[in-house]
Amino acid sequence: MAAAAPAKVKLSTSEGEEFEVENDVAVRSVLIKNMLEGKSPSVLRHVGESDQAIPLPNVSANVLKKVLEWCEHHKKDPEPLAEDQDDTRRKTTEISDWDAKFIQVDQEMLFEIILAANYLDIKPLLDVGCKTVANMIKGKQPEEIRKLFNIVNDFTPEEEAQIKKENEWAEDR
Amino acid sequence: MTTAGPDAARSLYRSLLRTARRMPDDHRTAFVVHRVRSEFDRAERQTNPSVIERKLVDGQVYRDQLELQARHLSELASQPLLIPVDLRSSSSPPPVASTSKSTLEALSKKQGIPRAAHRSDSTTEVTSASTRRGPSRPPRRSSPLLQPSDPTPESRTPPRVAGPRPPLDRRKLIRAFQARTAQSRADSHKSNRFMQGPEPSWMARKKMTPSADTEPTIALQGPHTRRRRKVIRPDRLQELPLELLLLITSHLDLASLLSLSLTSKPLRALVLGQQCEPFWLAAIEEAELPELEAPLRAVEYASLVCGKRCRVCGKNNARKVEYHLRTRLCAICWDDQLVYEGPDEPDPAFEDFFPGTKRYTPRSRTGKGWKRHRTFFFLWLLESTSTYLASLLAPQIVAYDLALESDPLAELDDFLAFSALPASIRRELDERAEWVKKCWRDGEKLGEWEAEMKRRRRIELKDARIERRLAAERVAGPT
Repeated sequence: MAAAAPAKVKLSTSEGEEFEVENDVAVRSVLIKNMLEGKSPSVLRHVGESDQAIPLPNVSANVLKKVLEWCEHHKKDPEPLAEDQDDTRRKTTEISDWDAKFIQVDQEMLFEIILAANYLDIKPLLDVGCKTVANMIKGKQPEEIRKLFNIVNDFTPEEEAQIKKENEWAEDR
Repeated sequence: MTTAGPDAARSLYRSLLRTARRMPDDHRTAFVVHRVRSEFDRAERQTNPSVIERKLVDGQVYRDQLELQARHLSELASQPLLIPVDLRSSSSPPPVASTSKSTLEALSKKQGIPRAAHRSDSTTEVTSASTRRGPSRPPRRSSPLLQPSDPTPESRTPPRVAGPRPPLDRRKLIRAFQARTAQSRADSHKSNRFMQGPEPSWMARKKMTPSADTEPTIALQGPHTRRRRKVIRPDRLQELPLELLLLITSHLDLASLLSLSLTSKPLRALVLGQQCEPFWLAAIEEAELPELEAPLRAVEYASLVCGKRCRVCGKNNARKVEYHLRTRLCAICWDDQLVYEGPDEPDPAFEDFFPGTKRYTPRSRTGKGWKRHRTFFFLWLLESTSTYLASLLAPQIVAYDLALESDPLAELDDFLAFSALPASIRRELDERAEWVKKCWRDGEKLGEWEAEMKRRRRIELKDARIERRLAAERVAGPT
């Protein structure tokens, strides 16, 4: 099946804009790869074999452009090993230089990229996005985090007092 | 120096600090604490008993005055109307040790508020004069001549007027209109944890609700402040699906997990939930923290090691940490809470507690200088241990009271003697004593951990310095 796949794949965004990308760039996304290999549900099976564009209704054009830029740069990367994916705790928060520069976008775009990577099933890109958000949180006080992500402090004074108690060890054992 | 000197001075110092905390606003507390500290520092080297005696009496008089002031000011602060600005704020003008009236006058002179506005008999009249920063007061009802007959939104002039600035009178008029609509909203007196009366603007801003309520308060900030143009972005982080939030949390370290857990209710539920438990454990492991013999919950451990909250007053400035006592305190509470075991005679503070409290309370000996090798306790720990013992040994106290009726010479110590206690209580007390020992050992381990971390940090800094120097030499080398 994979051999029969065309060298170029068409992707259609939520706005209906079409992108034509090389096959080995597109297959960085496990979702698209499965579609092309015919592992996806029968409704979508035909797309890999025809000239039709693959619809990506959850991804907008500017986000897809950014995601494809990442895929283009990483198309030669080796496939991640299966056991790596099971590891829930990825301790290292280091990001390669290129990725760090790539992910220097505004917060809106960052979250869009994360959501798109999740939808398209691109594990390494998802990791880069999540690490970036984690790095944004690191070393900040609760008030700063609230300000950064515009989180509303919904604790009532009573709850705050309760938290104060909860957070401390109970001395009566 | 009389023998009672140091103890009396210490208890006076403590009670002064306690009085300071009763002040209704932060800057007054800070001022009193500063004043008390400097007085005691100055009098420390005093050896003449009569001088010490006089100083102590002076101190007691000062404390009584402070008590009165604190009560008076708190009453003022709780009145919904006629509240001076600095009584309600935490970020208020610099400390002024004066009564509220003179503060008011000083403020009114500075900001050009007509004095008539502060007349105490006109209870309905409140000022809305703009303060440049800090919270605004309840807005003024402007004179009836200036008001349109109905305060509908149409009658409100938009806060930002295009083109050149309107003349001063017109600006006043605009503000008066806005103040009137704000007043009608604020009239529904809400009460909160600080005070009663209309909600000040800074609280609305703190809540960050993008409702229309924020509009007039922004405009009320006066001609010098620009209207905030910040667009309220939606909260994208909390909108993420659960699995993505978990993925993000998995990359956080201990301090960040703790911070994130204090941001909002949904995030707290997530971070303290079962799914995040492995992340906490991994973060503790990553920080190379020792395993505790008397275990703490992960979040408790984190707040001890990297928290900022004071155990006693709850403020976010707790820099002093005492691992043996598992407590993090701010500097004021630290001074207030510390009870040293005297070399020859016990500190009078111990006498207030249930017999045997000291034995079952965690202690430390990490003092420096003259406090070196002296055991100390924290008041709140002694208090809680005392309460615990009193409830545990309540039957013995009742038995002693009953025995007193028949035998007036009965001794309490006989009833509280360890051997006379029932087996279940003895077991519990044994466990408590064992727990105190474990706390001590944990304190030692944590002390070592901290020393090791400091050592590593020093080495890192040194390495960085060397590297920088080498780099500089390399650059300078070829030339």
